[in-house]
Amino acid sequence: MTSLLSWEAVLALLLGGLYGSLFGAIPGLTATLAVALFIPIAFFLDPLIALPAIIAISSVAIYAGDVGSAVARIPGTPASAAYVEELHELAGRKGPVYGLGISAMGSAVGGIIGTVLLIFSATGIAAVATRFSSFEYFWVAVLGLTAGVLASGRAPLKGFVSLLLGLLFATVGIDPTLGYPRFHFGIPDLLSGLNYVVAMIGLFGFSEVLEYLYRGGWAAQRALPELHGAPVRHFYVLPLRLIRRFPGLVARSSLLGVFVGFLPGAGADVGAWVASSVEKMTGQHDREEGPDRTVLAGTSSNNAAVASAWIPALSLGLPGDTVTAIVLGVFLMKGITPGPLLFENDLPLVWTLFGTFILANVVLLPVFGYLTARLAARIVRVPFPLLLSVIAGLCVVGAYAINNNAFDVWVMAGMGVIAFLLRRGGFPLAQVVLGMVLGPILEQNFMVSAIKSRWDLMSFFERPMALGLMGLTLVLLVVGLRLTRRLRSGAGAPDRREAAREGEE
Amino acid sequence: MRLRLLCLLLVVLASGCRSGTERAPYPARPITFIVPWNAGGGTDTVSRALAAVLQERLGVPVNVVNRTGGGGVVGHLGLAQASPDGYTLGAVTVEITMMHWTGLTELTVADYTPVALVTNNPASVTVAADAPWDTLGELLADVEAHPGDYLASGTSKGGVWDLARIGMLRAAGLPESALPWVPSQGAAPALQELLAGGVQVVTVALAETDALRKAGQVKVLGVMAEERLPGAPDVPTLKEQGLDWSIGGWMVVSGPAGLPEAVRQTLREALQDVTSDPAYRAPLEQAGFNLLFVTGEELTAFLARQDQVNGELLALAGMVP
Amino acid sequence: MERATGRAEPRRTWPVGGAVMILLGVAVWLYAGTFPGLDDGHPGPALFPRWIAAGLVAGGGGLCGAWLRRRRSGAAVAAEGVGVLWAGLLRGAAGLVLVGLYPVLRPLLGFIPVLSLVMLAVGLMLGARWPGALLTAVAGSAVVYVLFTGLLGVPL
Repeated sequence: MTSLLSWEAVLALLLGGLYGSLFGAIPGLTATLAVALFIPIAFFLDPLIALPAIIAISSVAIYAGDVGSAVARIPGTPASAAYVEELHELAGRKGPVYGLGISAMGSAVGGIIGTVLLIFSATGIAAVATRFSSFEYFWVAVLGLTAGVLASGRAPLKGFVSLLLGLLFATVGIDPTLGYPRFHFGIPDLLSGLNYVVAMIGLFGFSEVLEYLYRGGWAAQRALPELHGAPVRHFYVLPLRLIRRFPGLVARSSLLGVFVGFLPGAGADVGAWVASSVEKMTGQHDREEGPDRTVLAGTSSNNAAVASAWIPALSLGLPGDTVTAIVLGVFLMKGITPGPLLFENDLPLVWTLFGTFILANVVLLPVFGYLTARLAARIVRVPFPLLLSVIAGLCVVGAYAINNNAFDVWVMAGMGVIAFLLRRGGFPLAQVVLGMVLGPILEQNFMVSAIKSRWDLMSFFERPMALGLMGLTLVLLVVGLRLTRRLRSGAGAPDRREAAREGEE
Repeated sequence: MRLRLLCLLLVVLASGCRSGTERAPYPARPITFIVPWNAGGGTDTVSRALAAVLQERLGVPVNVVNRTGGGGVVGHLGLAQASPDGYTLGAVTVEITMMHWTGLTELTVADYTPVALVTNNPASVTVAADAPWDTLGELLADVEAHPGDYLASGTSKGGVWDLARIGMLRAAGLPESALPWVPSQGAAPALQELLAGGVQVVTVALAETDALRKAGQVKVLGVMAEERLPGAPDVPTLKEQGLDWSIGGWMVVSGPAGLPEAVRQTLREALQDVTSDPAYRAPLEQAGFNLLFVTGEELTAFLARQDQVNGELLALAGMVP
Repeated sequence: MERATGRAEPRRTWPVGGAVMILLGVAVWLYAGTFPGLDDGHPGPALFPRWIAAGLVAGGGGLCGAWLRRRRSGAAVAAEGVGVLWAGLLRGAAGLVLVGLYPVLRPLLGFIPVLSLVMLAVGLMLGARWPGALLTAVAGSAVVYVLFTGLLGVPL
């Protein structure tokens, strides 16, 4: 534990947090990119300094992805797309400081629960993870998609169609399992497929710009959210009170985040979607605090998943997401072998990691979260046309920066147009992103499973864990559809979100 | 405050608009290094380590850019289309000798100016720790007795580790269908399948099995290299076990075709220095990378041989249209 | 965001959206027919796109069906004509063209001028005043430049 207190490590933690919050808050810059760009620096640092910095970067960047949602309805990560509508509405109604307060406090609590589980059951959960084969991953993807459809509220059919569009976009490019190029129309840039971060910038960011250009900026006078009382109260006290009132919600969402967090590539996203869609369905009767609870559920589960992605990485040497893949690279470069032996040979390092996780969640998130939330509260006061012109610029730069590819700017613009049309038709947008994220996972694991079992499709229903996940999906589907129907027949009253929008006018 | 902001603005404008056309000895401005694969992967790790040391040696920043996707086509294409002035370099990987055979792209080695081969990571034959086979001979005898019963994985269909499997089977006189291939998204999911019991053999790079091998979760029956690797002296080569077969995932630092000879020479010398620098070697060797420095005629011959063998194997895999 | 077109709008979008999805589904299904199968006769790269195509046709059909049912039951609402804001469409198209030109102009004019141009045009079209829009555009792109290339190490 002594190494934890070294001032270099603390400094690395603070700087990492600052760097992570910048990356997370700018659309197009992701936690993965932040960590990848940090590698050449990490290369020359002691692992006891490099790793805390990486933990700080990834923990804070995931939270900071919510800043864009609150201020401009542009989610920073696919995970925060799960509750972008609620968070934006909340920020408009009760102020961005309060909205981001829920986000930060929920993230911190979720992260702490995730870390505690990481500490006490890393090897146990890793044992579960090794039992996951392509069949289980297939069902996890199905579970995530089901949650996505049900999260679309009163018109699940439209959510379903949006999801299919996302899945369709995901098939563009070289088929990841069989190597056959699809839907590229002879354009080499399309061989690489459509990047979902680029798509997200277009769908949420640029489409907003187009929307206001279409309707005219003068009509876009938004009521500035009033702050009653001190920001500290809005950022810390009220959200913590909310968490204390719904401990079960937070615990459930965090556990969900932990247990799907090790799904490669999308663990945090699936966790956030399932958690917030369960909350959206059960909390629909609650007009006043429904969005608060949805945001809380989503945000606590995605930060829990950030910690749990480290479980297979530390205990087995298998990366759960891109960030941990990079971390493993750093480990190996430093001559540290992850796996069960890590817990025997490098115990101080393991404790430093755990301690850093706790520190990142207990200190960094509240502090940097507060600073970014105050900044966000200032940003919303900028005259709206100017804010939108900056957003337009950031969309262009963000789309370009991801792959340094000019083509992505056009993809981003195209997605903006598609989103503009989808909005006219009342189709939800977040589901498109979910489809793009889960599509490859769904397809690959289906094809791998089918080829592995020589097209014996019954094998999808044979393994106990696969059956369990399928059962969970069915329960979610049945309960969800029943709740949706009750909601629809309940009254002709417009649903909460529409009501809020009309209230804005 | 406002004045200071204005000054800052002017400075930035001045620096942003400065054109880089002045003639100065190479390298006079930052170099972009294209990696056609994801951040965090093997090619990326080596490239970033290389770039970090190379920029000190050359005195200009070397920025690594991941231009990913398209099974590597996009990044390779980006490098081939860059202007051959030495300010855009990149990692050309084994896939360049494969993709043109399968019709994915027209790009071949001829579209690049290869400077130096810096790493070649041989494939392994890896099985679960509780598998019944202790040597490669036992495994192959079992495969021969029960053709099609066991499954192998490691990457997508027709990927380099798939070719490793086909080449091994060919060297052992077995048909490709004796040990069918299950496509996977990469090494980590394939190893996960191995642990979960979905497949029985994985033929990814030896380095990629390092963590699980040291943890005793898997055993490695052989490495597809000419000689045993310094990092894993206890793993026998296939050659020692009677199979004349070696293959690996390699990376050549290259520029677009038509790089001036002077630039090429500068880079060659710089890379020679870098690849012998312990600051570059030590961490990568720890991570299990097999580092090399091959250039000139030897490199040209290596690339030609790779191109021919991989074409044959892809035909066996049924991937050549 | 259906504000501009009013409340009757969602009703009309059901059949229109449904029809578009059905057409898209059919097109994807047919295009996927050109993909090769696996050697052993099992469906290959075409399988997944065809699932999606089938889903799109089903979803589109569902949207049309729901609309028909509602119309027959008399619940439908006056399908009053929803005007298209032509000037708005023009502004949107102008913004789109500017963003589309960005990758072409950037290597010619440099990063800061081109990004400033995009931001200035968007700001002005939204009704911002000249000095404010210009200052925001130039300062904004300069800050982005410093932030990305200097502090974060992201090439632009």
